[in-house]
Amino acid sequence: MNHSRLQRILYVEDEDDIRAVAELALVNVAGFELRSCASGAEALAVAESFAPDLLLLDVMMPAMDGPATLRALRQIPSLAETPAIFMTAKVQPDEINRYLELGAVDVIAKPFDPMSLGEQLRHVWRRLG
Amino acid sequence: MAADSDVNISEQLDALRERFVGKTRQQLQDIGDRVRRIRDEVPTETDLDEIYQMLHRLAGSSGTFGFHGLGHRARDLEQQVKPMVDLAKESRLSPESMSAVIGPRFQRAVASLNSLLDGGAQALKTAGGRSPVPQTGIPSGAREAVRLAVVWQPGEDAAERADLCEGLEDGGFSVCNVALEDLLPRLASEELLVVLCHDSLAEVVADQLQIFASQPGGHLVPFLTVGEDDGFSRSYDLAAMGAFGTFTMPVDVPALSDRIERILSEQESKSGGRVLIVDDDLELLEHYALILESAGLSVRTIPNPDALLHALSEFDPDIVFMDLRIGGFSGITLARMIRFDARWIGLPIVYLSSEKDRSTQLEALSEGADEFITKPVSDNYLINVSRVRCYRARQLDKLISRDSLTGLLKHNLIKQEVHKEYARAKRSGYDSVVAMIDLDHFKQVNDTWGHRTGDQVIKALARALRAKLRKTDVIGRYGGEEFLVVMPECRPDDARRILQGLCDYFAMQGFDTEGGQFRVTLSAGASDLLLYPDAGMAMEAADQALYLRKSSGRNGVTLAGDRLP
Repeated sequence: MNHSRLQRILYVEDEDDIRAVAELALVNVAGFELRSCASGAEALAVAESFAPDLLLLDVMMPAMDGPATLRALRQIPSLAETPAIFMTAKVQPDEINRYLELGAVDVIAKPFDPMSLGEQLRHVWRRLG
Repeated sequence: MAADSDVNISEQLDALRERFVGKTRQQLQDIGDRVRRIRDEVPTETDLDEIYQMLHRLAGSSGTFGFHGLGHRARDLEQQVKPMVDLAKESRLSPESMSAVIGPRFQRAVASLNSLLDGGAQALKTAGGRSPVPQTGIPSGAREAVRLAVVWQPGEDAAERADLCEGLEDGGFSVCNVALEDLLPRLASEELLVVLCHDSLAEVVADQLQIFASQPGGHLVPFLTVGEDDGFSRSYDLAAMGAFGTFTMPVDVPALSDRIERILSEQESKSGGRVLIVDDDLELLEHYALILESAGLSVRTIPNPDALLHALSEFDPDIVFMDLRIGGFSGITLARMIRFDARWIGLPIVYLSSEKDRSTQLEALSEGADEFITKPVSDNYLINVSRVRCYRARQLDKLISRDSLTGLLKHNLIKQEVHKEYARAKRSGYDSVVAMIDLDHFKQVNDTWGHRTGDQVIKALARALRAKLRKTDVIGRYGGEEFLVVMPECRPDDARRILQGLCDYFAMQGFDTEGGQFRVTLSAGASDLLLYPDAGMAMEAADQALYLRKSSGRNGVTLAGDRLP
């Protein structure tokens, strides 16, 4: 399936603080190419041209939440198969299972550690390959 | 170059952290305002929803900036609000039940969040000598987290480290990532109870811990390792270094948590212990007390046996030392008398006596004592006997499932029963009730009439619970004067009727003492298990209901969600 290296990540998170830390964690610490968006709508607008390897979505967002954003992104043919990971502060097993059923490959619990977030994503990526 | 960019990243992180602190202060203020509005003015669902959203964000983000305590507390509070937000979505939320959860306790908890922000911010500024996050101001229920140090080889198995830390944090531990070179100063400056290290660092960490143990004020901190090799020869090496255990990656976090809890509880029971000494030689009493106290045991001395039964109730010793003859009393007879009460059947009794005759010694032992020590006793011997006996007594106590005073289930077991019943109720969809019951003004009973009388009251309540609840109800002693009851297949209204019957029955009982007769009432709070997302929250709701009952007049039953007078 995925034998390439993980490089391009599309990230959606409504909270400014968290987005800023994640940018630092994923670009400066982990060395990914990141396109971060403040809303599902923004993600939909840029996703196709950015052509990400991986989607990283916050679950709880106003207007369009993570699952809704994923459903909408899946309508874009080139993104129909792109692996997606949800981030959430809820870690109850039944909720995790619900997200996995929506087609996510993993769920990352918040709060995340900025120094190891990139490693965590690579870990998931290796498992997929 | 790499070092440069690391510095740069940590500077940027600091800047983001400051921004987070500033914004969070405003948000906490906003949450506080909204809580006040709900309490003092008209409760609105918008305020409720905003509170929920903000707590949810804090729960998810605080930890990223190093404010783990704040994150955990915010999550607790978020989960208290969540059921109401769900109810509101279905328009089934009454203003009364909203004010029941957003009560004084909730308001205090929100107010205390600010101090967690202070503590965390200071902790980050004084790098190298972090002070523990202050736990003051947190309402009871949040137990102080056990602090663990995690020492890792930078760059090695980083994902594993992250998973591990997260798992441990979720398990309620407070995890501190410690660089190897910081280990010694941080052991000295803060209370790190257990060290967890990467296998590749085991030798160095073991050395550091030895150094710390040999320093003034130091002690041996237990350590565990995480690695890939748990074969015989590596395990043997680790055991020789003094490791308490080793785990292979990926780490089974529940098993590791369990191991840590065991290590801690073992240490606690090894160091502590309560010793009661009965002897009419006052100087000797003082001497024994001094040496045992210097060994970290708590000691109660009684020169006169008529105070013995009272001291047993009040002090609840792990071991009793007694002379064979105390004034006009026989130690053998006293030992038999102690055993009259089933509660003290397992209590170790050790004779300290100058009696040298073997047959008299044996006779004394045949009457229910455990050991005979001939005076004069060396200080060390006395300390060792006390420690070993106390330790054994605690170990045994853990294996026993029933509370010795009341014969009811002990704390942990009754909690397990709630979890089991919760699962059953959810599966079959019937109502089951969990109730928290507490004696009113019990401290006054103890203060006025003494602990022995207090014990009588607690026993009487245990009897009343057995008599008035249904055969199928499960009863446990939750804490001092607090009882937890599981009522399977019971509608809330039936539970209210049964518990009210219990209250009325108990309030009528008179307790006779030499100083006169008195009565004691009790309060109960209950919740329907089916209404909560997990058993813990159902218990919390019952506790909250109990709290409401206590603050609105005691002596009766409040169900979670009741309209209040």
